Amino acid sequence: MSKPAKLDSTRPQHPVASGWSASRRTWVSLLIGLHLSAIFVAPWTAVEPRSQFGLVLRRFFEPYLQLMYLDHGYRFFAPEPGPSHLVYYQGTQPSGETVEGRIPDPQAIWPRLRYHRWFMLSETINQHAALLLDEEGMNRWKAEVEREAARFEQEGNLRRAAQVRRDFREQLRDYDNVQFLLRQVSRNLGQVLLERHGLSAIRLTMVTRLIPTPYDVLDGFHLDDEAFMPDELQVDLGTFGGQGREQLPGEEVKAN
Amino acid sequence: MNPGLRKTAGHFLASWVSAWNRFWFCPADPATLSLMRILVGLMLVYTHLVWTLDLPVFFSQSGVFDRQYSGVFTGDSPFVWSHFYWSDSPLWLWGSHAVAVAILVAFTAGFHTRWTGIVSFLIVVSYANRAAGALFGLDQINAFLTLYLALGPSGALYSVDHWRRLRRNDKCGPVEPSTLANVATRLMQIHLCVVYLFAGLGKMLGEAWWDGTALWGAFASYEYQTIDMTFLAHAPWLVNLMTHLSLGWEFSYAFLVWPRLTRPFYVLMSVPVHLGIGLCMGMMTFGLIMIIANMSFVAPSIVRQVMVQLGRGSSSV
Repeated sequence: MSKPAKLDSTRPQHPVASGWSASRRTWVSLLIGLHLSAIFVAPWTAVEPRSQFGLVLRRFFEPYLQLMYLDHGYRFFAPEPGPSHLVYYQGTQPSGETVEGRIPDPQAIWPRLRYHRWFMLSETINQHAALLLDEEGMNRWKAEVEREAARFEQEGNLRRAAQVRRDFREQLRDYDNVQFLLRQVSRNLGQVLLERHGLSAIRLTMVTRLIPTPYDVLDGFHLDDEAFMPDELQVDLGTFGGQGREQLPGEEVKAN
Repeated sequence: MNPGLRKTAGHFLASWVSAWNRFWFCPADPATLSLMRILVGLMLVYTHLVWTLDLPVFFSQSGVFDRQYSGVFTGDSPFVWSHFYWSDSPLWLWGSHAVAVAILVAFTAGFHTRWTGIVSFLIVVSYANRAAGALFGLDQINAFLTLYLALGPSGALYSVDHWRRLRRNDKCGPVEPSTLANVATRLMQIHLCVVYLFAGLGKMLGEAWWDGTALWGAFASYEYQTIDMTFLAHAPWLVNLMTHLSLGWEFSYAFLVWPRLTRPFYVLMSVPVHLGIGLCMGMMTFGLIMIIANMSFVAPSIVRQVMVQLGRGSSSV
C-alpha cells in the first residue's frame, strides 16, 4: 500500500536545479520583489490612519496597483460587522398606482450573487451619504478650521495657518466630490427604477438596519423588526421624475 | 574587514540566495495550478454570467455608474481602465460580453490557455473597473488568482491543450515540471497570506473582535442571513469562542501555513470557516473562491491522486 501523500508544496516536488540562468533569476527576483512590495503596500495603506512613509510608497506603487486591479484593503467585516444600508423606493405609475420596493430585496433578486451586487450598490450609496454634513455640521467644521488657523496666526506661525487653510480647501474639494457622487448615483438609480417599473416619479430613501443584540432576540424581536430601522437614521436621496425632473434633498423641484 | 567575519557573511549570504532560489526557482509539477484553473475558471464564468442579468444597469452609460460618476469615483485615474468605456452602443455592450464569456469558457477548458489566460485576466479587471460600486471580496480574489493562473502553465494538465498535445503525438511524455509553475504558485500563496494578514489586522481594530461578539454581528445581520443562527443568542460563550478562533486562525495563517507541521490544519480549517460564511451569510461564491485559493498550498501529488481517482470513478460509471 502506498504511503499517503502529505500536504507539501513549499518543498519542490522535483528538487532539480532550475533551467533558468542566473541573470534571468536575478531579473525575475527583482520583479517578484517589486510585485510583492506592491501587494503589501496596498492593504497596509488602504485606509486611515496611514504613515507619511506608507503614503510615499503608495504613490510609487499606485499606478501599477490600479492597472492590475490589486489596490485593495482586504478588510472583510473589519473593524467589525456593522449595520446594513438599504435603499427604499416609492413611485407612482402614470395610472396613479403606487409601487414600493427596496434594494437589495432577497425575495426579488436572484441568484444570490446578483443580490450581493445590488447590496453593494446600496452600501456604496451609503458610503457617500454617510460623509455628508448638514448645515450645522458644515458651519461647525468651518469654524473649527478657522479657529485653528487663527491660533497659528496669533502664535506668529503664518506658514502653519496657511497650511491649515490649504488642507481645508482640499478637503472641501473632496467633500464636493462626495456630494456629486451621491447625487449622480441616486439620480441614475432613480432613472433605472423609473424605466424598470414604468413610473412617472420615484422617491429614494436610504434606510439603516441596525444589528439586534442577543438580548433583543431573547426578548422576542426578529432580525427584520422595524424597531431596528430608526427613522432618525433615514436619509432622503431625492425624488426623480421623467424628463429629468428631480427634487434633491433641500431643493425645489427642477427640470434638468 | 576581518577575513573570518567576511567568510561567515559570505556563507550567510550564499545560504540565503540558495534558499531564495529553492523557494522560487525549483521546477514544480503544474497539476495544482491546472486544477485551480478549472475551478477558478468556473467561478469566473458564473460571475460573468450573473452580470448578464444586469448588464445595462452596471456597465452602460445609461446605468447607475455613468462615466462622470465612475471618473470621480476612481479619482479620474488613467490607470483604471475598462473596455466598456470604448463605446456606448448596446451592440458593443452585449457583443463584447458574449465574447468575454466565451473566452472565460475557453480558459476554463484550457483551450489556448496561454492566451485565454491573459485575456481572462484583462476581462476580470475590465469588468471590475467599470462596475466599481457593486463589487465585493469575490472580485478581488477572482482577479489575483486569474493573474497568477495566466502567469503560470495552468493549461499544462486537465485541459484541451493537453489533450490536443497527446493526440498530436502519441509518444508525448509526461508533463515536465516547470519553474514558472512554481513562481506562479508561490505568488498565489504569498498573496493569500497578505489577504488573511490584513483581514486579521483590520479586525483587531474592532472592539467586537476583542469582546467576542463580532460573529453575532455577522449572523444577526438580516441582509446577509441565509440560515437562521439566532439560536446562538442562548449560547454567548459559543459565539465568543467562534469569534476568537476564527480571528486567531485568520491572523496567524500568514505565519503558520508555511511549517509542514501546521500547514494541513491551516489549509483544512479554511473549508469549515469559508463554507460557514458561505452557508450562513449567503456568500457561497466568496466562500468557495477562498477555499479554491487555499488549494495553492495543496501538493501537486495529492491533486494528481485525486484526479486519477476521479478519472477511475467516471470511467467505471
